[in-house]
Amino acid sequence: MISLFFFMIFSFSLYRWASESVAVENPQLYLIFVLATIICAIFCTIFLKRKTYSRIMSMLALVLINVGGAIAATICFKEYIKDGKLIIIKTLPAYVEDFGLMLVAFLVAYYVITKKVYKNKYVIYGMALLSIAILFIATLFEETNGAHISVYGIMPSAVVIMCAPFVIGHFCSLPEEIHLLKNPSSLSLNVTITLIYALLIYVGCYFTNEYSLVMIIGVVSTIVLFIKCAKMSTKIIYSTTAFVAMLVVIVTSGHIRYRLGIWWALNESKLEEGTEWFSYLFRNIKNAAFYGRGMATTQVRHNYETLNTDNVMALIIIEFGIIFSLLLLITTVWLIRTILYSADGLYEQEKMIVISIGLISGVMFLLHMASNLSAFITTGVPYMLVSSATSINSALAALCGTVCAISGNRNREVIQ
Amino acid sequence: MNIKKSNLGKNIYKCMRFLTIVILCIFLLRVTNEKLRIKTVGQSIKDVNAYVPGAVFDTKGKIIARGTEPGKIKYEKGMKAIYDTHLGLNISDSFLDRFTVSRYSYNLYGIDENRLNLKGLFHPNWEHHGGNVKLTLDTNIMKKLSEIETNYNGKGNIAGMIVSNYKTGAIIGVNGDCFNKRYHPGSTMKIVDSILALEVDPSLKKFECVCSPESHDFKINNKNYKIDCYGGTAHGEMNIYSAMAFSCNNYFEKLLLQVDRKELKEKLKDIGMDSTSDFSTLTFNDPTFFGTTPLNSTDETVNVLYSAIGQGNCFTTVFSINCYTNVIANNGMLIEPHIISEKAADCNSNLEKVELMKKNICSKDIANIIKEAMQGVVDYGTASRYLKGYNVIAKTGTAENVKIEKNNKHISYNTSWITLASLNKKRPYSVTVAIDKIPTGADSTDTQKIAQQICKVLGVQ
Repeated sequence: MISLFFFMIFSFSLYRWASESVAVENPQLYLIFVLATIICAIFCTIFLKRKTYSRIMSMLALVLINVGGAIAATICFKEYIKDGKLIIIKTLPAYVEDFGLMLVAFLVAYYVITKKVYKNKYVIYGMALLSIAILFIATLFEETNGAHISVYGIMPSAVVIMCAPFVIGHFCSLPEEIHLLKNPSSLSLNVTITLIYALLIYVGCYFTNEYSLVMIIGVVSTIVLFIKCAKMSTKIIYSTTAFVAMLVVIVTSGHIRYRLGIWWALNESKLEEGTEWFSYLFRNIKNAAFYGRGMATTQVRHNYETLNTDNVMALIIIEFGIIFSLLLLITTVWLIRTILYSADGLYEQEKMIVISIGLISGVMFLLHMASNLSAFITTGVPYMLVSSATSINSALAALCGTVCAISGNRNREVIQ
Repeated sequence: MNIKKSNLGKNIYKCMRFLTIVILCIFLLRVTNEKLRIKTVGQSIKDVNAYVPGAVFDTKGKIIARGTEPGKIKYEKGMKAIYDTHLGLNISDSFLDRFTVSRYSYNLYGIDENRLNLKGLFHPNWEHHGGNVKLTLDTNIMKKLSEIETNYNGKGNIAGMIVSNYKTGAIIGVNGDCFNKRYHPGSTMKIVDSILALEVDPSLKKFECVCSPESHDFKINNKNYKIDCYGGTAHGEMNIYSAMAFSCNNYFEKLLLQVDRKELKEKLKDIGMDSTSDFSTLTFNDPTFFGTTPLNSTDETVNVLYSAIGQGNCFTTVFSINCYTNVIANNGMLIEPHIISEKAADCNSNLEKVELMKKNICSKDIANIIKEAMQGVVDYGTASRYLKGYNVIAKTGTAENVKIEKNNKHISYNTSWITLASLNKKRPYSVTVAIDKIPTGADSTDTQKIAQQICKVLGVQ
């Protein structure tokens, strides 16, 4: 109840703060959105009363969604002509739609996982094939900003992010006694298939230019392989292979090399590839300071189209200020902590699924934060639940539903 | 019923927390690194609307303009007419003009404001105001220059007038396009010629030549060039003092021909010609000597001959000539010319002096020789008609220009110059005036009259 009370105070404060900003395109819709998140929080408090991790995780996710809503509400309404077509951006209605999709994804995932569908190996095989196939299929579709990011509106990266934890969790939880070639001295089947899966994802990403996904899957598979291999020698060989393969894919891309150059000498780089916004952040951090320059103040003056997606962290620092940004960082870290902590004590398969989900969320968060704060190369990774990214947010909501469902089972399933 | 205990999730979380802290540390390091404070004009112009601009003061602390509402700055009564062109304070209108003061006064618009301090922490509603700017410009001088321009009824157009203090580098008055448009400097270039020649080879101070009707003919690559002194005069035996006083073209052409070409080019760059010079509070177009396209591609001697007398590829702004005068008057030392003297980072900060650069352009001995030669210009030379008796050093100049119209019609006109510096230690001012498009045959009478008026205002007599 205390957490619900704090959530309500937070929601209404943010609502009031955003309403006083320079631009709010639809205050009524924004109020409905805030009330909807509060209703969700009440439901979470009631129905997840005995599931501490699930309740905390849902509340924290709702906090992030609230922030995403505030940003969407204060982004200016934009109309512009591109390739002869009139394009109208209405960010709040779009984010409210995303919120609806997130809710559906969360509930569906929660229901499906409680039915233990993930125990069926054919479902896992299907997920593995789907996640690899969609990357290759995406190459047939049109390029947007240098990458094949959409298949009929569905982002392949979102599909991979949703499927990968189940695939990795399943194969990594197979008994270690099963070996390739039925020879005990040969390689273990579980880790080998995990490695092959990761490598196929890399290849798919290479063709679709989804380098941020390579980094996410690369880091997750490296860590999981290091954890799951029994011997130190195999730990090193498998995890190094996954990591080096990731590096090879990244380094062979001139695109990433160029971005590394920008990261290394941001002050000397030309203002392109998103560096304009980073340089803007660095130049204005002193006058944005603790309480920010006010919501929408930056957007009113800068006609950037995608500030609420891959650069949302930089936007938050300038508009909301350092204190709010730190609180948001703590909230996100806490959410990831909750996911990872909820893995301890679960069955092997569930544990590996939750660990993978925690790792994927964590790596996405770190990549987004690092690229926005210019502590790492600039990669297009959205901020979980805060950025306007329909597919990725829905996938992450589904993963949150998975964690809720799995961690909810922890007290019922025990190891004899 | 036992639940298997595992710390895997906890350990992974700890690693991620560590990485988060590392990322934040890298960010902090980059923020504290001043190199990353990239300034782009486009962004700054968009940002100015967020703040109420600060106030602009003249050198005596009189308010020229002040911010009234976010993004808007209003001139005090009577100030707009004399200051607007040079200040360009409404930055969204003038941002393309890189020669305005506003380009160096981002603090005025609050863009450089620092709220990362205790006040920023405890006063969330601290209003956004820009910092103040104090200029070196003197409203009285600016008004006088404006009056002179309005009352000028000569045959040309006043190209530019600039008044500066050579001891401090402060520009105290400016009128017209002194920083952007370049003109042939004519005989005022002889000041630069003297610096170049004597710096490369100090023994050339004893160089003498005879200016006779025949000595004006030069044969270069089997082609004859005839470059007369002004009015076709033959001055006779010349040394540096008499040549400067009577503005003998022949002497300075021959003087520069004595100088090794390679060393000449190096020295040209050293003194800021044919190179790029930057000052911290103003931008100007750099002067040229050889220029980018030589007059004669096979032999640069032609270039030297013409540029030595401020013709050919030699172009300078009014400001540049004033700078070289300052160098001579200040014993060879150039104090960075500036228009902004003090700045406050934001509305809560005190005005802080702008740091100035000093550069030794020539030695004191050489400066004294040229100073003495320029004294002769006033005492018995080309500027004696109006400035005799004034405690100043000066150099006049008249450059010839030919403009080709669309119908291939050639229109000739002159650009008349005077540059002078006061020797009064209490009034260390220098004045440069240029009048463009005066009819061919006219001398520097108009510029001398204007300089005389400015001298009276400055109290230099």
